[in-house]
Amino acid sequence: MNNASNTLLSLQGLTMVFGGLVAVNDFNLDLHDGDLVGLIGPNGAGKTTVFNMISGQYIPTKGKVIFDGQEVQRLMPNVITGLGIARTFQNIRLFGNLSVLDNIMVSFHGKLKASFIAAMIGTPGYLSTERDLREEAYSLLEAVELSDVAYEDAQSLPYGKQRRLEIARALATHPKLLLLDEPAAGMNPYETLHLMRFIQRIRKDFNVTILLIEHDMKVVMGICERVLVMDFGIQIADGTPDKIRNDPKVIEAYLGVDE
Amino acid sequence: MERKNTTRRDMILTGMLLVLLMIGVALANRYLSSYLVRVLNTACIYVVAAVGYNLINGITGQFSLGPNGFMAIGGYTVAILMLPLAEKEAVYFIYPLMWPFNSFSFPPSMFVVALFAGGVMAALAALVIGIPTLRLRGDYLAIATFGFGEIIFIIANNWISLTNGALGIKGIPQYTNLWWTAGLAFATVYFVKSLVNSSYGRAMKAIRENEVAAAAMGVDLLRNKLLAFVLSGFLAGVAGGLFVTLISTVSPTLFTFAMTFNLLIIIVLGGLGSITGATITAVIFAFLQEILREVEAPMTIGPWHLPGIPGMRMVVFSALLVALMIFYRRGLFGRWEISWQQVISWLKRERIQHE
Repeated sequence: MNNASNTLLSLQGLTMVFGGLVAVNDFNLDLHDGDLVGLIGPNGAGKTTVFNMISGQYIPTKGKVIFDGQEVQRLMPNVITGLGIARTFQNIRLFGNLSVLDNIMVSFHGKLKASFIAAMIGTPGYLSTERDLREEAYSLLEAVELSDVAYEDAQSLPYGKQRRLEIARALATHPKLLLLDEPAAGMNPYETLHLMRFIQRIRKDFNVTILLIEHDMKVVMGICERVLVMDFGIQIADGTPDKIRNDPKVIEAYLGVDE
Repeated sequence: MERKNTTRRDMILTGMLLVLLMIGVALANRYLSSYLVRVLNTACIYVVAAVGYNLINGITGQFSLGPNGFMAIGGYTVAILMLPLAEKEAVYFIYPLMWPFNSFSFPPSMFVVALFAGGVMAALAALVIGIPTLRLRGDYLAIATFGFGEIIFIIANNWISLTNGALGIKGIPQYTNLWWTAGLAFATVYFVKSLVNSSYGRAMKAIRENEVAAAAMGVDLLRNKLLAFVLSGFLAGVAGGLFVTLISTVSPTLFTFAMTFNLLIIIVLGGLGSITGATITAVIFAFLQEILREVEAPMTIGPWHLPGIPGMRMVVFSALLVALMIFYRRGLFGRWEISWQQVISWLKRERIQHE
């Protein structure tokens, strides 16, 4: 929307074919620094496939993913994360048997400079790095109000907190772009409200651009400035929430055609 | 500031434990029977191999069936390097030992170099198998490492100018003693524990918990899996080297799949992923193996007379494993680890109860 600022992410003609199924067909999107954009569509429309192509889980059949001026569609997921794209998952994928603090600290590993030999010996230099990482992780947990459960196993957290931890863990990689895959799925109205405020807050505090998949219209219409609609692998609408709400194609995709 | 003090405290306590271990070794050498010392040696070798095996299977969650192959590589390397020249001529009587190994032999002072070389050879083998198979998810590593063990067995049987084939190598000087085995067991536990508690260890556990998420958080899957697998191979190689210089012989049948099975029992019984569990169970296992010799001896129970059944021990172990899987799925220790902090809080609690 804001054409004055830099283009952070540009998807150009992105296509993903699984066997005979075209999951995503010629998908285009430009995201600018600081955007908060929603991606909606019926089940099976190809939203998560788009995320998987941006974050490197899938290599697109055709098309380009340009992030910060660099083509990234053929890079490994961990390299893409290192460049500044982080994501959460539709079905929560925490490191269940690790503590909440350790879940956050895993995100620091990609940028660790110390060698494994220093870590094995436990050199004073390494131990001081480890202390710094621990402190950084703890202050991040304080910022997302999870420091009270820092030493609990991630799998023992209630659902809402698990969702929040997933977002915090993604933020710990210091991303420029955050991809949230259905963060409100399975939440009750109270938790959802809390999540909406949380997303708006981290956007400001951590200065991230956010692309969000969501089924809960209250969330999408409530916080996104721009909404894209997908159906059967193609983009059918793009605009402000108000415009989307009244778009006949969108209504058709969700409710069917009146015959 | 307080954390820094606990680090120093832990280092002092670890140092004290090392001194205690040394006193223990000195006492054991002086007062225990050579039979018991031998069992202790075996126990320490199992600790080295099991803690290393646990790194790839328990911590990183990649199912390897390879330690017998790596132990064989380490064992043969040490045997060929350490065997005195005169023995080399006597042992290799069908085909002479190939060049350059027939032209030199390590003096006793180079034993540590030979052990290191054994570890490095095994680690290199792990690197070669690991690079293609660790890219894939699932059971490929298990299949490839199982096949690798069989390949090593066939090579050991047939590359006669290197391994002396099925006859094996005899007369290897017995350099292994309790100082070596206990010292290396201590070093293994210390280094592996430091690694597991570091950022590398967290990355390995993250891979075990969820590969897709670990990669999405910036963890290089292949690098970290390879690190665990190669280190695990190195430790298996060292353990193999210790083993052959303990029993002074090596042959293809010494490191069969049964060895991997023993190690698998140890790490599963101990609790996959627990270094404490692997260490304690390795020692228990070494002693149980001796105690259970009884069940293989001829027995007379009331009116029945049973002849000795070789291999009965493994039946008992297998039954134990089945029972554990049914009643105690997470192993004896689960993923629990002992730490100095816990030891201290136990002691304090004890004191409070006494007062």
